[in-house]
Amino acid sequence: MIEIMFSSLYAMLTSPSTMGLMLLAVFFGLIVGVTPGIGGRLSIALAIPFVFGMEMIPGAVFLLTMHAVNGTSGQISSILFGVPGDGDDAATTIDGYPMAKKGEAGRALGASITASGVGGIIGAIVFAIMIPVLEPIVLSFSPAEFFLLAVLGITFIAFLAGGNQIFKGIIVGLFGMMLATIGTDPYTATPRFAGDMLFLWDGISLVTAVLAMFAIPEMVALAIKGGSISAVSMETANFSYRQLFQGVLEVPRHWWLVLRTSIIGAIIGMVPGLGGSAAAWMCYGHAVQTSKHPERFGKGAVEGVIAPETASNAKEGGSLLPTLFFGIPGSSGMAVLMGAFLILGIQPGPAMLTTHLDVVWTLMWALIVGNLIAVGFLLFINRWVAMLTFVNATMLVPFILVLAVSGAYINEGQWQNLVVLLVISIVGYGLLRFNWPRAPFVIGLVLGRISEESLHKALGLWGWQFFTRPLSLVLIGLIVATIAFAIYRGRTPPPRYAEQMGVSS
Amino acid sequence: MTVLMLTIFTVMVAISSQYPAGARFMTFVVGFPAIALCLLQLVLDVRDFRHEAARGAGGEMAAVPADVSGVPVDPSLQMQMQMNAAGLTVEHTPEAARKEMIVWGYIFGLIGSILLFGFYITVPIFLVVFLRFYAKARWPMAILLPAAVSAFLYVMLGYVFRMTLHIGFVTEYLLDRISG
Repeated sequence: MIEIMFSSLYAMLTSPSTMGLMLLAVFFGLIVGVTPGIGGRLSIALAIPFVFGMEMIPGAVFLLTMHAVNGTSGQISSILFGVPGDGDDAATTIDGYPMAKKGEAGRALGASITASGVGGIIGAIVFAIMIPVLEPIVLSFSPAEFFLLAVLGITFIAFLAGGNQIFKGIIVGLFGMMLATIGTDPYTATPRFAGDMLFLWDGISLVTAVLAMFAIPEMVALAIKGGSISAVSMETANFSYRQLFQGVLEVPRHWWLVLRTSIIGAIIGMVPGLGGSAAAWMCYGHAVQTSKHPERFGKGAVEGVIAPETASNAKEGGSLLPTLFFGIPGSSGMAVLMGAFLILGIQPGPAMLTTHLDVVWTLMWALIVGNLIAVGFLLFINRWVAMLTFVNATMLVPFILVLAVSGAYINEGQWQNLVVLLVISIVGYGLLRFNWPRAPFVIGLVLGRISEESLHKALGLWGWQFFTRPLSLVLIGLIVATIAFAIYRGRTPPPRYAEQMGVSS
Repeated sequence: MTVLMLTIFTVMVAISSQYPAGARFMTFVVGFPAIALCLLQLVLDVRDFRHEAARGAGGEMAAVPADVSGVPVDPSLQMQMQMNAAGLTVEHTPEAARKEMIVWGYIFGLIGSILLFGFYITVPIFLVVFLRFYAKARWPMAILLPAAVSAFLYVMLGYVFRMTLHIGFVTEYLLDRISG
């Protein structure tokens, strides 16, 4: 294992194409992270058509790096303008923005960028440590469990939607699974729901479906909402590199906090269903509770910037574990990433440990190297990257629409996919309009075919008794417990925000 | 939305009932629980609707982050964080509905025009029209930006990735007629 681990690093570093793609991914990931209206999930969806047909490792490295560094630049608007880019950055705002108002924007940015990078690296190390621990569990899974894992994945992602949305999430997941049945049935060769439309015999294009579910609806919403992320001046962005360097030094100065919050973040990332922002909020709460001077928090304490940033980036390493080995993505971004991995031929499950271990290690190294490059880049260019928050979002809409439509066409070169794109976009927009979760759709669609095969195999091997196998019972128990907890959560009155995020006072 | 989902599942299950047993197995495994869940969701929707109606207009605001672990949060940040927690949503107002129709008109126009006239003609025109008339960009910006982006897109796809874009049914017909 150790040999494969280091040979993967060597292969990655000595491959000009992989490293070139990684640099591109860092660049695009950082830009996308700070640009209003384009989240990490959407950027992955838009990039899928362009990695389609690439070799497995360079394609996966490109997408994972872009996803991993996305959050590193998201904090810029949180600190400079008090406008969090996404849920992960909201906790950073509480102390980051007051620091900027006190004239310490450079220190806050230096600390948060470095903390984010270090968190990402420690998260990747935790991922590496956990692989041998999880190996026997992953290898003990049989086809019977993989069908149930698909259902569990949908349940967890539906749970992420929060409130009493669990049934809506499961319905959307089942909708994805139902669309996955379109095409030639693998056992009887019957063209299901395809009729004479030959382009549907191979099933619905995953790229088209993902773009339709995320890119088009979000662009419609963005065009309606309009405006730029920041309406305030760039005054707070005036800081010296000396101040930025002081911020960088805050990270080694608080090494014990960095280590603790990184490990907590990575562990939270491993638990599907907790959601992306939970890691940041829990670690912010942890920093407050363990501080000797908790009264400084909320007024510009640098620990309040370091703790959520390390945690939110460390969770990426953790959330790769359930995604790669069990096919259960820990977040909606990971769900889209998993769909992209499947397109590249990376199928989650025991095969990742038996035949694709080199891919696993390369992805871990991509997290480490990508974060290092991102931190280096961002420390120098953050002032210019911050300018992107002033871009009028409406101006971006037509370009992203064109990119999405082109992407839907070029992955298979069939004009019919444009019609499919339009139809699924309408459904996707309906889901967004009425606040239904959309991420379970991707899980259902990508795992639909795999779960159908697993179900047939399991029934062939054990008949209906496969439901009574010990591991199957554990998974069924988890599915029932998740739904029961979601119902209980939906019935109880909303608690304070801090408690909602899992931060106990 | 629940009714739409229920209709989709019911139609798909009904269609698949005509397939051989092996082919319809998965659609039944997925479809019947989905129909049951849609019916359950429909009951919940009706119950929520009645509760909303009983409570009157306005409803209840979502929980605002007043403090985190005892740390008071700047009131100006609370609203932003609340909006952030809600994600990218669309307001249910007449103005939003009007904009919604316009944006969907652009999307239908884009895809319809690509099918008829192809990417090469449609994309630059779409970008110019959207930027000028929807995003209210100035003419120089509305012309230069699409020109640059279209050129970049075609160079990237055509020469770097060696991909051929759809040229459109009408364009193809006209080119055939011209070339005899």
